[in-house]
Amino acid sequence: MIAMLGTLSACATPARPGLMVPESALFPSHSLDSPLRNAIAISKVGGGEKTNPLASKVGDRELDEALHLSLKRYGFLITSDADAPFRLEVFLIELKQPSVGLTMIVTSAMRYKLTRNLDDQMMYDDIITASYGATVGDAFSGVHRLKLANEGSIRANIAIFLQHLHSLNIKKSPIQ
Amino acid sequence: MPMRLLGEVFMPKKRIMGTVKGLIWSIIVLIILGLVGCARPTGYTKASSIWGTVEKGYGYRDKRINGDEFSIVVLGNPSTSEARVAEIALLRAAHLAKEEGRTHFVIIKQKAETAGRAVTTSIPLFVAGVLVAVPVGERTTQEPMAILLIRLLPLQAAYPPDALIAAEVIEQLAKHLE
Repeated sequence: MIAMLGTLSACATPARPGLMVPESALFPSHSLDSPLRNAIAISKVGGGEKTNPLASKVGDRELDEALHLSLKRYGFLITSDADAPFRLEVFLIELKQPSVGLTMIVTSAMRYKLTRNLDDQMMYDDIITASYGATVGDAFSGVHRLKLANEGSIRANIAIFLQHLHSLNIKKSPIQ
Repeated sequence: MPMRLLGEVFMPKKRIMGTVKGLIWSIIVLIILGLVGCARPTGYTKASSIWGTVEKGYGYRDKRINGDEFSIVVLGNPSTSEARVAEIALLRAAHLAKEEGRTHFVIIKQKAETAGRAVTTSIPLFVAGVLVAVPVGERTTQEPMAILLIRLLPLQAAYPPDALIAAEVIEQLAKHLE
């Protein structure tokens, strides 16, 4: 038992940022003209937990990287943070993980807060929850299965947020 | 002397049967206790880790977001109502305010959710003389989850109308939750 746990614990590694980026999402056409395009800087990311020997977790650094990659892929990230019209704060409230199971379902809850820098007006503030189940078919090792479920849950969470961003009806400021 | 004979010398057949029976009864009692434990709704308790640090279990947990802002998450077992997990979250918020030396707090955000959990069904089987649990199926249960974001208010003369008084919340909810 101890030997088995030891073998498994050696495999626990953090979630991979690249695999927490949504692959595709359906966006409304009007969002192409959104003032949010190439206008958001990620100012703060928190709530993550460090991976421990027994379980893969999602740390602040991995989450931050995944958010940067996601916003960049879908054309929201600004190249220079100093000039950003909007700032985004993200907090990982909860990562509900199972300890055992054939199918491992992970539920993530994240708070996204988008503020306009010009007048500190809150443009968006919401909690998004998303779940993902990884099966034995995805990975035989429980430790790896949990990591896949973590990544899938965060990926689904970010995808919902991106859809919300696209649906946000923000009028262009004359200063922008 | 062969092992079997040694066993008979040190532990007569009747005693071996008695031990096996005792073991079976212990397993049955543990299963019943487990079922009874699950049937009761989750109470006001801090979620504790199962398997060390992997799963946090049922109950409340909180994190400081920044400064005076906190997130509180309550996960209830399938026998717990959504209303109850929401009340536990509110009670925890009030206790948190008290622990931080505050009297009032405001709710920034709240969300009621259900989280799925895959439960493996298994049957006990003797494999090579050892009793093992063999998985035969899987089902998904839904567990209620309450999420609360709060801001603790600094001690001041006047409080906003949406502020909650920690002492009042504790008085109203503690009796039937703690």
